[in-house]
Amino acid sequence: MLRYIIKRTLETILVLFLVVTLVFILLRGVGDPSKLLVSPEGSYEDIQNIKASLGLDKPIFIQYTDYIKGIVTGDFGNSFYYNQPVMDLIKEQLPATLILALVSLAIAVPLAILSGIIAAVKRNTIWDNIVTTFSIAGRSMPTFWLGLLLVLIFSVFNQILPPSGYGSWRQLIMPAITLSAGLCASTARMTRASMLEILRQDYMTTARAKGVFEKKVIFHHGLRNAMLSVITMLGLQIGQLLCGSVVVETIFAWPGVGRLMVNAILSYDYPLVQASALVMAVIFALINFITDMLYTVIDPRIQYN
Amino acid sequence: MSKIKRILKVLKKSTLTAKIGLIICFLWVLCAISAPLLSPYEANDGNIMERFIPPVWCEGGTPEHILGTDEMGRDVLSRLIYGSQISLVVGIMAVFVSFIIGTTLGLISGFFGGAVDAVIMRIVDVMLSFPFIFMALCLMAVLGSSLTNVIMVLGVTGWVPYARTIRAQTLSLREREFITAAYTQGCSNTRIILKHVMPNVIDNAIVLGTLEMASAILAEASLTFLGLGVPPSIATWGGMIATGRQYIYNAWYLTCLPGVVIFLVCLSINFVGDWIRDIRDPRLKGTN
Repeated sequence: MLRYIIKRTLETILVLFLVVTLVFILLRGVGDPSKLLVSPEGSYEDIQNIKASLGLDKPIFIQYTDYIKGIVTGDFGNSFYYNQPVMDLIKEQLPATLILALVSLAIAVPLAILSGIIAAVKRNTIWDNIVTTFSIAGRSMPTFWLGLLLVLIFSVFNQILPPSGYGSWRQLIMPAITLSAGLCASTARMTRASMLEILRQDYMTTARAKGVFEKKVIFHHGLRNAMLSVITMLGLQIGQLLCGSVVVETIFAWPGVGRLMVNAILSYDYPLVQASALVMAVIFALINFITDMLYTVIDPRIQYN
Repeated sequence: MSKIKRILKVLKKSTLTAKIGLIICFLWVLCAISAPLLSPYEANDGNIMERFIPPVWCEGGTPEHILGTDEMGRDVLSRLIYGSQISLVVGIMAVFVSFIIGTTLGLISGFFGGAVDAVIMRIVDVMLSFPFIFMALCLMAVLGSSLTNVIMVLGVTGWVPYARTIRAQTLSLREREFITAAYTQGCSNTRIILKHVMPNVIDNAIVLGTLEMASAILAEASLTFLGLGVPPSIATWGGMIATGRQYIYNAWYLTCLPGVVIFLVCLSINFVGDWIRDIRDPRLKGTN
């Protein structure tokens, strides 16, 4: 087990290093941020001064090694735009993103798994059709449009909920629903598929033949086996959730890392973009790691040795 | 003739959702191909005197602009029809690019294994380890917004599912007798991959491609909505929602209608994609 964890950690570090390098290379193509930071009347010297103060006048390779050295010592640099350490900015905005993501997960996962089970158990009935239709619809709907539609219904036509902002739970409702819709659709679909697969297995018949209650057959014998593939997919879907949060945070003016990142890209704020990419990748790697660990809990036959 | 009859027979036996999907897809392609003939006005022709006319069924609507006009007095219906061109081009071309990249890498990775496989799979890990939209946004910021760039970016960021599917299948095919037989006959690796492996794995990638088309269209709309996709000078569904959003309080239809169109088209593509997968492999029917 310990060996596996060490191996995984090393692999993750390699992937994170590649992410950092890729983002670094990408950003150097974006354009020159120093021109944006100088007032329009600024002279050539002003631009050169800014470049020197940001370290942008050094050769790319030196900039890269400096950057990597900084990361290793925990220094991610200052934001060009806000002139603050980027990690402070991200720390400020991370809670909002995490709250939104966790609430969306808390809405989507139980709902999706439950409706997936119902659809599979009551296959080809009206319940199955409702769940299937909703899950295909959820897959086909643009996230940003769903968000705007909710704004139209709950803020424009009926003034029930505030259209944007951050602070009270009422402002959390619409972003959370928007973000959870896609996740809910795909998880329900996946749960249904793997439940159908499991329901066909011989051990389900055996359990029933033994006289086990139907509820216990489904939840104990069925669901536990079906969860394996559902969890694999959930791990990947959380990446989708982070993607969605970029759009959702923009629509609802939610002060999270996603919005910070979009603004940083638009204002050529290299250190901020790099650091937020790294934070996203770390979150992602952690989730994948947790997923793999969960396998051993759900299926004790799986051991990492 | 018999071929047409066979196609008709398959269509006749198709499910209701597949029929709906096929009809909407047909209309979509028709709109895109004959946009200048079908649309009542030019996409970018606006009359500033006729701003914010609501759709014909609302109070104040006129039959001259069935779906109303936008903030610059441009006809919404015409812009929707012209927008279908962009979605069709992006959907097909982006899928084509990622299909080619993904299939090639998947075949190479699965067939040769070893170091090549390890490198390609690490790249896949990197691609999977940060949000797609973020990478697309970075790339779009680098390249600048244009239609070609959107296609390239979506193509370059979307190949992972193809590579993973094709690799998994190639891995198991590689051990089969007919591949060994081809070896003993002295076939080169290229020949084995192209003539013996590829025909056996390409079908799944094609089905995946149909379904991925919907994702590509959604991704293009999201990028354009965030202001880093197709430039605003071209009429696109995502762009229409982005500008309509600013007038959400006085013209609800500007955000609503383009979204309905995106939704219907993606829904239909998904219906058709699921249907094609089912007729190809009846075992999967209803499982997904």
